[in-house]
Amino acid sequence: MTRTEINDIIVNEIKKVLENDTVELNAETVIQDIPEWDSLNNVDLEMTLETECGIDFEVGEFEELKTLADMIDTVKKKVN
Amino acid sequence: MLFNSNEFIFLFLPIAFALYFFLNAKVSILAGKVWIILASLFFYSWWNINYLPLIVLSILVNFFISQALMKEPKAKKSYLLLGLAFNIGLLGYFKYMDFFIKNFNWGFGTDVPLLHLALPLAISFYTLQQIAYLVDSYGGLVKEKNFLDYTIFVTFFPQLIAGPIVHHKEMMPQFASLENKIINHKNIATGIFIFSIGLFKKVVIADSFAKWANLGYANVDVLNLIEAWATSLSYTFQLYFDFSGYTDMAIGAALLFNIKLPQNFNSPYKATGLIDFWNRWHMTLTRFITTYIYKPFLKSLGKISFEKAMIATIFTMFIAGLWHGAAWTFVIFGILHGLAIAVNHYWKRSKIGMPHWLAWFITFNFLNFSFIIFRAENMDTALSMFKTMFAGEIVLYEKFGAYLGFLTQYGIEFGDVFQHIKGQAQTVAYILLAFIIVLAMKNSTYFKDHFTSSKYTLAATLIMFIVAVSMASKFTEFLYFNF
Repeated sequence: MTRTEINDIIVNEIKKVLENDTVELNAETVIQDIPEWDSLNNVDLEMTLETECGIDFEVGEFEELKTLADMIDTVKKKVN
Repeated sequence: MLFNSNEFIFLFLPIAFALYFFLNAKVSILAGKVWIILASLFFYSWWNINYLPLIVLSILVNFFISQALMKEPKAKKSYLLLGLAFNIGLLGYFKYMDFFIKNFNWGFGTDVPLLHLALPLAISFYTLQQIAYLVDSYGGLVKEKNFLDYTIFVTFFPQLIAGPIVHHKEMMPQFASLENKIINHKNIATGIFIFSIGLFKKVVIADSFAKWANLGYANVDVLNLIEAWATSLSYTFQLYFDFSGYTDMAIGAALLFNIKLPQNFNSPYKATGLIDFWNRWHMTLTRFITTYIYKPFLKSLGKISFEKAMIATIFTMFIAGLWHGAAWTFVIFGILHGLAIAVNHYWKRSKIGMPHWLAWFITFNFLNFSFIIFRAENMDTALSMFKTMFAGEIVLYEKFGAYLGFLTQYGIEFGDVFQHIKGQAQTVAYILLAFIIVLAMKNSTYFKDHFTSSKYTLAATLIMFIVAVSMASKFTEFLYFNF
């Protein structure tokens, strides 16, 4: 799995749960700071990554990841 | 020892502080750590030394199970279950046993005697923090394994009794850091400033509201309509200023030791929805229940769906309610909040707009009503309060009688409006001022983050500190000590 693929999964999921195609996202975006983002959206994103990438997050692990880049790094490590 | 007592402010805190930095500088870091643990355990034992063995046992058992779990990956699941059983068992026995027996007796018509155990101080807080450490050890997320740092993480006196509910990952590195062992003047100035804000909130604001709230709840049956509203609002404000005042004092006291505790409040009464509220109120509890209850529960339900998420939310808030105390009022409080959060999510999905002021108005009133259930001794008292708030007798100020006397034909009376809660014009002024403070002002986290030493901040600190200390004649306990 490449970084771009993981990035696409994350970006698409964020747009999907927020029902908002225009939200601006880049590697340094802090997920919690996205307007309207809440804990429910966060679980959505976590579980989507788990199913689509075939990985498992430990309890509390996902909350540690602040930016898109953090998420991509962690997922990449788990996939390989 | 309460944060607002003279023995804490003028003896314990200065001595704990001075010796800590003296030992760090002149003896060793190890001595500093041992000192802060002993000081914290002394602070804890000041109330009741009988519960000291319990907290020590809890620390030892949790630490050794966590270490064993990390050393023997094959048996880690058994260790985790053993640890969880120990923590939940301890909390269950001391906090919920009588509640369970009472309901058992009621349900089965039996007569099992109650145990009448006093709730060991802080047990709800230190148990949660250690469960997080245990679960993270299981998940391989624990890096800090130093026993002394772990013990300080659990016992550090500023946050020991009523939070903020700290996480080992944010605390243990701070206790291990060498940089934090050197006196930092900016932290001391900021710490004293924030401590003074908290002391003022507690002594001057919360304790004033406490008088009216306590009298009101003690005399529910005789209140008039305006008194009932004043009582419920007084409690709503008391709860916020009491708990956030306590938190400010904790954050300030910890800063003296160069330790940064997490933010616990972010102007919660500005919230315009229940999701928003729980992201602003007791934030460290929300963080804990989201990570360690809500998510694992939701994941255990299989493929995620909106409906399942709502069920998980209501379940989580039910647990959060019960965490506050062993009574049906807390259970109902939790479930109501769970339902309200679910309604909030449905509304958000519907994309129907709502004016900002209306969203605030609905949220604040929901909170005010739910805090009646939270405060009342039982549901009868709560229902009686609701009834009076909407259908109680209306009494207006005597002086208004001259102009509005014709209203008597509609059953409205004129007299001493606040006689049952011993309030007067001051009560109205306090409620209005409290609204202004919680809605229009920046909060203490903002002041902490923007603190600079100047003659103005010095003057503000001194005024708040002196007023609060001179008014603190009798030390009322903090509400969250009961949870």
